[in-house]
Amino acid sequence: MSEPKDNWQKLARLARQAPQPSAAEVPFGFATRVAARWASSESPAPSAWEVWEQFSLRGLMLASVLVVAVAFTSYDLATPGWTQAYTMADAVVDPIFEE
Amino acid sequence: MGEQPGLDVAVCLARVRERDEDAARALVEHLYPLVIKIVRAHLPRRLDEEDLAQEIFMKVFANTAQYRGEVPFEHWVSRVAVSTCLDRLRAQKRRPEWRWADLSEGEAEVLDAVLHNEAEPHPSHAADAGELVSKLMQTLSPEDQLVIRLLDLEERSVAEIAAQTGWSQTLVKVRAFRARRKLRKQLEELEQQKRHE
Repeated sequence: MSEPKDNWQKLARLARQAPQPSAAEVPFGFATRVAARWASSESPAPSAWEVWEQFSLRGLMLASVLVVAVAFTSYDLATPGWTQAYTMADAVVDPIFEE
Repeated sequence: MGEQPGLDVAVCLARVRERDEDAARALVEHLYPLVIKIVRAHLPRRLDEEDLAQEIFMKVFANTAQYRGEVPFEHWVSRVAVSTCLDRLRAQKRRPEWRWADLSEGEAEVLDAVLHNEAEPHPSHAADAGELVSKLMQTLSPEDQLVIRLLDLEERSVAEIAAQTGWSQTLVKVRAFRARRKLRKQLEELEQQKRHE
């Protein structure tokens, strides 16, 4: 055991016998402090799926509003048959009222 | 306060995921002995152990979603604790270089006994040996310090160290071999310095 290469193991064997620190007691208030700090921290960042889901819902709502608006403003163009019938009826009714 | 033997970790963890503060407190009390043992073993110089333990718990809570239950929760927490300690050790880039004159009287006596006595040094020198070993290990890289502490001081098996660090068993052995070689070289250099005094 006198070879230089064994000196480290000899020292380590002795160091292993060194007195260990006292048993680990949770310091007073430590758990409460940690839990409170964690609770007051921001919510975890949303996952990629959650971001996509939120974005999709907003997109869907916007698209629905646009569809309703477009349908409302271009109703005449979308229903030419009804408009023509209305125009014909108008042409018949107007002279009656004019008399 | 202290470890809670009756704590149902799975239930507690589920409540933590729902951001239950009481469950978080119970989990801290349950895991504290495990975490503080790792912190004390790897504590970087000039760093408060309570601050480091708190940082580890914050990481654990922030990443509970990543725990899939493949290993016991305590093993997963150990790995978080070890990696946090390694990060802090890496942040301390400067490593000391010890000379014989830097050793305390007790440390010098122990080293002298280790280097020159055939017999094992007396156990009454154990505390000084512990201090000397801590000093010598500060000169190693954080990864080497971790391996040597677990293998030579805590007498863990290579398989256990591989499980705790996520390294392969071959890597653990290679690191241990190189770290021990550096430590032996340091001992030789200290001995040479003493001769030249």
